[in-house]
Amino acid sequence: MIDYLKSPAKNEIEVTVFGPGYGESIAVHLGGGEWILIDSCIDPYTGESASGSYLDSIGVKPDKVRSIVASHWHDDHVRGISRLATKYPTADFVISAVFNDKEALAFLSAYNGESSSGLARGAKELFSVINTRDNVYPALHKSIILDDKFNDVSIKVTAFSPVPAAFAQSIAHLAHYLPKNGNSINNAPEIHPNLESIVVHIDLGDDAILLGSDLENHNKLGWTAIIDDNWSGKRVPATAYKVAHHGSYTGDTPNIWSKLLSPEPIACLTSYKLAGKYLPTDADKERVKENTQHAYIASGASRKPQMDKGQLKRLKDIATNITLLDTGFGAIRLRKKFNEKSWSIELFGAAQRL
Amino acid sequence: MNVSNSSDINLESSVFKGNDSTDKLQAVIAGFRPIEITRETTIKDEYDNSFNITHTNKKNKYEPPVQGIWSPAIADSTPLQIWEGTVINVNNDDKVMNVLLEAKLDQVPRHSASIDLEWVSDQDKDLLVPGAVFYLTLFKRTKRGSIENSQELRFRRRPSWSKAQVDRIEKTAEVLLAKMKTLPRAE
Repeated sequence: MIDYLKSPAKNEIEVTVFGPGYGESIAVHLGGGEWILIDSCIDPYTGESASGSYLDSIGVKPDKVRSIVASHWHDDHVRGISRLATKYPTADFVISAVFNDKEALAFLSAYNGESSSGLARGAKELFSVINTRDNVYPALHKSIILDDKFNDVSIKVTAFSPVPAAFAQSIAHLAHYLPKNGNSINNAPEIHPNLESIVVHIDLGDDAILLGSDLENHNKLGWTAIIDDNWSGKRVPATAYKVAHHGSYTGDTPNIWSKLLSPEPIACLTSYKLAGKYLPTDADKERVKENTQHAYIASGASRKPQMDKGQLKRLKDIATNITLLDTGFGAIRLRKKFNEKSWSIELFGAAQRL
Repeated sequence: MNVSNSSDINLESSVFKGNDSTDKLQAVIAGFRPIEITRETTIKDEYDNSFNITHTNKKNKYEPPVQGIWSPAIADSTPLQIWEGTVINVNNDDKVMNVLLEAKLDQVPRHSASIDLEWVSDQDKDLLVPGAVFYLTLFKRTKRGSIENSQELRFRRRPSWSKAQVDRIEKTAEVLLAKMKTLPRAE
């Protein structure tokens, strides 16, 4: 069990990025004791959503969480988010505006776990939240998620994505897996490229935080569209960045670093391991380090299989690339007072410098 | 963190009427008959001996049996592990399927892996799509002092979506859509 010690002071802003090795979640203290949570992953020590366990451990009351954002429906970003939504009933629940569509919601309904499971867990989590809440708030490019004063400082939380042009593509992908009478019931695979994710920008006045979610690059539908846009391309550059898509080159473009971020920002990564795909790769790590000296990863632990030797030996007769999904859990915590320029960085559990 | 596990498997099959629990277990594994599994897991924190979580997980059924799976060749074999796999994607160039593996015996964490398509039987080839579910069972058999290993990879034939299900999904989607509210947008 990680001891996170004390809560932030009311005049401190905080970004904590959690990673169990497969997945991520983020807790942001906006000041004045108020929080916003982005995505959800499981803390293996508590079996609960990592950000919920974290807020419990530092004594945050449920009514202090203002919003919960589910950046997209993939399992590694929403595990436990339905419990988070129950735990913080007064928080607004924000989802990608791609789901402000009947076909996209039919996709969630179809893969809500009644008839299928496995890879549909992410769909099940989101369905569960929407089904039990009275109101849900779809976010798209330029949506204002929060605009308020916290401890006398104006904070504006906005969505940089998804851009409307990406909707048709994302909905078409989801619609492809809609059930048809007579077709076999399978699980719902993740759909790539990911252009539906909500990228969150937190404007602190003279500084900003950019949370890149899993958005991938595309000239008209992804990162380049955001950067080229007159509104999002000219926001306050961020000094803290949750690197998009687990550091993958598909979620990166040099203009993110040159136009949306300040020089030498703090970069926080989480890892992803599935389907023979390990992110970040060594090349990804090098690329991130070329852009900043201040890069950290929440879960840098071993990917070695974790099972009985006899079982592993037998499984190796049939399978290759056998990789543990949920490796060491860790967290990267950034804090600073509103009038300070530089962040203090604390690493917990398996988190380490890149 | 240490994880200990005790599994108590209760078999309720109207199809297989074996006499001892090992035979029944094998029948279940081979045919995926309906069973109930109660699994109790205790998670101990190595940093804090007083911190334990006990989690009880009950699973009431497997999917219906897969035809022709009960094979005399594995009748006296012991299952080492049963993995429930989900196909994440199929790489036809490398002739592998990338899969997510979840152990059905013991408390083994989730893994991902790549499996050669040659392990997929001809009769299951039509089921090989992203999202398809299969069972990979690793058997061990001791015969006259020597150990023989065998394995079986079978895809689950899943039921089809019914018209009633499709209609219900559409109606549910309409209910969910009515809950969507609008956030303000920046100028």
